[in-house]
Amino acid sequence: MKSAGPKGPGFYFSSIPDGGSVKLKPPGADNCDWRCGLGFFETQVLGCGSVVGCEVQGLLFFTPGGDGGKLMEMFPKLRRALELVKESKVGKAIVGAGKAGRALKKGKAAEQGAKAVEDLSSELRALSEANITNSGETVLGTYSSGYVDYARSRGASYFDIGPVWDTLTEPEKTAANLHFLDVIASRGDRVVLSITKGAIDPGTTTFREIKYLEKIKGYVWIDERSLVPRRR
Amino acid sequence: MTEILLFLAKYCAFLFRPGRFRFVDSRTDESFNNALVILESTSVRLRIAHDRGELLLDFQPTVGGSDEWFSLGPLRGVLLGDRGGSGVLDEGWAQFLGDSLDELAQRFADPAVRSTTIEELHHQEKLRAKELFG
Repeated sequence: MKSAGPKGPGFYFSSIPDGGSVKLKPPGADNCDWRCGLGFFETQVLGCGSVVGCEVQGLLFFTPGGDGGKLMEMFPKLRRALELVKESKVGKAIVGAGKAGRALKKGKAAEQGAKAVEDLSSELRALSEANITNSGETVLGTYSSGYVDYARSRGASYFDIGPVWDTLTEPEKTAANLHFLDVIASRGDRVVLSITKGAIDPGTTTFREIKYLEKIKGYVWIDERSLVPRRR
Repeated sequence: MTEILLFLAKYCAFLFRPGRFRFVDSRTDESFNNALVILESTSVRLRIAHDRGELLLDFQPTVGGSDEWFSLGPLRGVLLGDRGGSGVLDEGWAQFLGDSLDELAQRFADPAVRSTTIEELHHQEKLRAKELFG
């Protein structure tokens, strides 16, 4: 993989080898390895804009919606792939965690996001849901801010799968996290943060969780610490 | 915890020069292998966390009654005019911290400047939140 590629709005792109996948890394992260495919897309790119990932004719492409035109100029194949998807009306955002190849089901929109959660084992699924309560409220936040204690004090749901975390692959971690978010979002939980909106650092897990809720689950901010599902 | 200590040893040796920072607290957790340490100088308190596999750092003044923590992005905004990228601690942020620590310590040591600095940090946080979340 080349060490320098075209610069996208939120990250550098490497070349797109035929039949391969896009590799990305954040600008300025010169010491960071090129990260591949969907896992990186999920964990790093999601906050950069409206992201579309699609699999067409066996090729996997990603583009940030906010500046997709520029990228399409760069990558004719990507443009064509997206056109094909658009024409067939199956190209809604395909967003999921997990292994890139399995995560994207060809020609099928994953409207609920986190399609790769299907790959999640029943044990991991259960662990992800272990701290979900019926309070109608979920707490997210950083370890330093004590989000677990804050959640427990409110009787709210929180994500904590214990020491198993360290045994998981990165895609499994993302899938478990997104599964938790999928569940609490499907219940329409109000999301309360243990930190303020202003204290959320970009690029962190908390940031990505919130972006996932905003962009994929339709959550909106109602104050400096809370989000709720957008009224339909 | 190991990840924090290794990072400090590798990139933040400047914190442990004579008269600078000392360890004042630490915590480990079974969940996610989370951990944190708190370091303190006469005017600055640093909190470094290993949070779901990411290293995060925030700081606050040791005196003056503010219990708020601020991360390095807003500080970079105050001192350099740009808030940088990802807030996950890396070698670049360690370098920035090393370069900025004396000025931060001076700002927090002076009550009037401390108050102004905290206002500026809040302002940077607001700008960042607007940028990230609209």
